[in-house]
Amino acid sequence: MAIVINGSGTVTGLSVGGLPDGTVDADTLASGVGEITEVDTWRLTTSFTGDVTPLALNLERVDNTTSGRIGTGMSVSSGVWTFPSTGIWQVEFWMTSYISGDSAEVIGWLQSTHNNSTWGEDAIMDSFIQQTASTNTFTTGYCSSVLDVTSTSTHKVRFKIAKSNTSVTTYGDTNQNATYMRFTKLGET
Amino acid sequence: MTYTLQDYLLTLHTGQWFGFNGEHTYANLVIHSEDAKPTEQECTDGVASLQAEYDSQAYARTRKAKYDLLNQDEMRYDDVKNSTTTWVDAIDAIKAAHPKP
Repeated sequence: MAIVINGSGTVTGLSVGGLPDGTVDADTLASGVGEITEVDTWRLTTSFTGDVTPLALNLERVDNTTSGRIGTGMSVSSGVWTFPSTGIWQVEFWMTSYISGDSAEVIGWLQSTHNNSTWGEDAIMDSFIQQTASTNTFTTGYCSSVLDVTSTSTHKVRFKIAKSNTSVTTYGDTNQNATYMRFTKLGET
Repeated sequence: MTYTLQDYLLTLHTGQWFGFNGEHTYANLVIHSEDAKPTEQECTDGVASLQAEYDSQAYARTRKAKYDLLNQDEMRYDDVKNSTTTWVDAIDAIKAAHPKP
């Protein structure tokens, strides 16, 4: 197709990748292009002992005075998280746990589904608490995954927690992030 | 360590059986499961009991911290070799300084 410079100020007939490298730089891009459009952070507000699949209750969007968020944000129902739009999403999960007395293993999983039915483990954190304090000894684990969310109705995530000792407490706090998850949209699918 | 309402509730059941609408006060306590909601008095007494149990072990925690500063194996070995009582003396001194209530 021939390249045509129209009188309206537009150009037609230019193929994708048709401009030489370096022709367009950051200063030339329209405002907003290449910027992060979604960042949303949630946290567990109340501690609990024992295992959960999924982590479903006592969750809040971080609401400290200085907290920030970009975009629409996630929605959660019965522990199943729905993305606000398709795209490449990074999901991060931090989990803080503690126990007084015995040592224990603590495991957290980030699970995803591509059909809103079958769940698979995308990432795992596995920590071991070796008692070093006379009261509570803490540990924090982290895991993350980058997901290609091609459909917001079928591609979802959830979080699962298990412990070798039911006395281990998963630490939740309504004033600061202790056990929390962050969802960041990195780009389009 | 100061025990809270949440600390007491954690001792009753496992899982996410309770939560709070806002700050962690009894007035904001909500029960997510079919477990009975403890009364405010039960919670007050429960927190007090946890705190009393913890406080009653203060002497033991202090003793433990002091014991850990000693090189006890070496002290016992030296006592056997030299017919001295440095290890027993040190332990006795710690016990005397931090008596059991």
